[in-house]
Amino acid sequence: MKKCDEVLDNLPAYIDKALTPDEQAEIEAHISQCAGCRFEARNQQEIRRHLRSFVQRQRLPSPSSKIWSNARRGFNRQDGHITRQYQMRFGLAGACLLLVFFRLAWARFNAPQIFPVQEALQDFLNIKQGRIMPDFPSSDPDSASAWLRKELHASIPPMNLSLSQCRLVGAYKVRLNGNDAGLLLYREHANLIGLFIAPRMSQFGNIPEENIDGNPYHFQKNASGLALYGWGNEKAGFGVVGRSSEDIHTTLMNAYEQSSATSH
Amino acid sequence: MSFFGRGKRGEFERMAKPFVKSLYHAALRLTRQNEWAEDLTQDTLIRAYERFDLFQSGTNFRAWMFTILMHIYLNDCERGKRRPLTTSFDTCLEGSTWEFPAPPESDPAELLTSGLLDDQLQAALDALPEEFRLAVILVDIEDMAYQEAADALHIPIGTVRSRVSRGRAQMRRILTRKQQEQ
Repeated sequence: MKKCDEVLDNLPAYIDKALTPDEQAEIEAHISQCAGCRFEARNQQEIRRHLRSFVQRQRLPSPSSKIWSNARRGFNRQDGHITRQYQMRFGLAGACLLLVFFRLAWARFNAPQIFPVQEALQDFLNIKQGRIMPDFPSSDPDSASAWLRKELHASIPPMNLSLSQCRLVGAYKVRLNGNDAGLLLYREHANLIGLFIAPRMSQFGNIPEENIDGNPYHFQKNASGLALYGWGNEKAGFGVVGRSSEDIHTTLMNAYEQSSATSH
Repeated sequence: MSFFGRGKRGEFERMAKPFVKSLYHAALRLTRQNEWAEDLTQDTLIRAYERFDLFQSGTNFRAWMFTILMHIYLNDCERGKRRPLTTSFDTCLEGSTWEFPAPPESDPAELLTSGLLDDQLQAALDALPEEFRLAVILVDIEDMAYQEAADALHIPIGTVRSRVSRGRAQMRRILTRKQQEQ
């Protein structure tokens, strides 16, 4: 049997028949024997009935139309807030996309390109055979260096173009693989030696790397007996071209060391 | 109107507008002040719109709105922003423990209801302690289910039943005493 307190606390639910059948039955049994709880249940039923009919009779004022119109202004503010949030998100996403796009474009623009070895060999052969006059005839390496930097509009490292046992004939502006490059022509005894300087073309593709006194280089020889020693640093590719490897070995070493020293 | 909230806005307005009247009346019963009731209704609508994404379709929209209304009302009271007007009824009985009056000789229901005026009923309701008054308003006047009232008041369902029961009992005692005085 439930205690009176417990029964009284559950009377509203009992009156509304919102309890489980067992609980309903338990309270029913209790109030049939308890005059106090029966009295309270009866009164609560009456109070509930009166309150319900009171609500029906009650004449409350109608809500002012300004409630809905003010609320709608609040909705507008909320909409504006959401719109601004979306705009900010779209803006941020757009900015990120632009950033990625520019980063990729920049990386692509600045990516090292393959030094066109065969093209350089052929170019050198044409100049040599055609006896084409240099664009900048000079035996002064400093003047040639300044001219090249101006002509190539490229951030090529400063160079010491004095090669031992060689005399500078002049400088050419050439096109390698569609890009501007420089060629310095040297005379070493009876031979001609060319030094290509190609901005950004510092990779040598599949041409295997070799070593001279610990310095890595790439070597390629063509059918006509011309050889190219190539190497690159961060900003440019270099290619020393000559008749045979023996003839230009010393020149290569000098040029290599100088380009490495000046690029650091 | 925002492009992004167009669908949501239309749906919310369609669902909420029919409840403006009942929300306002509930707010009026809670606060007993017209200006506060208007603010409370308005704030409830705006808050409900902000949180409309959280409303679970298929559940009781009215009960959801009332939960928000109660939340704002209780917050206003807690922060001391405003207080409901209390109707002084000097017959209000303090205390929340059960005490049985001696069963009257005549039928208690008859004694209670004979000549009972709406003003007396309203005054008895207003004289209840706030927690009992809120429970009685939600269950007996707004006709909410016990669970919905429990959700709105953030209290267990058993506590709602108990508060409704004690609130009704206090109303009965207030009304009986008033009738006996007359």
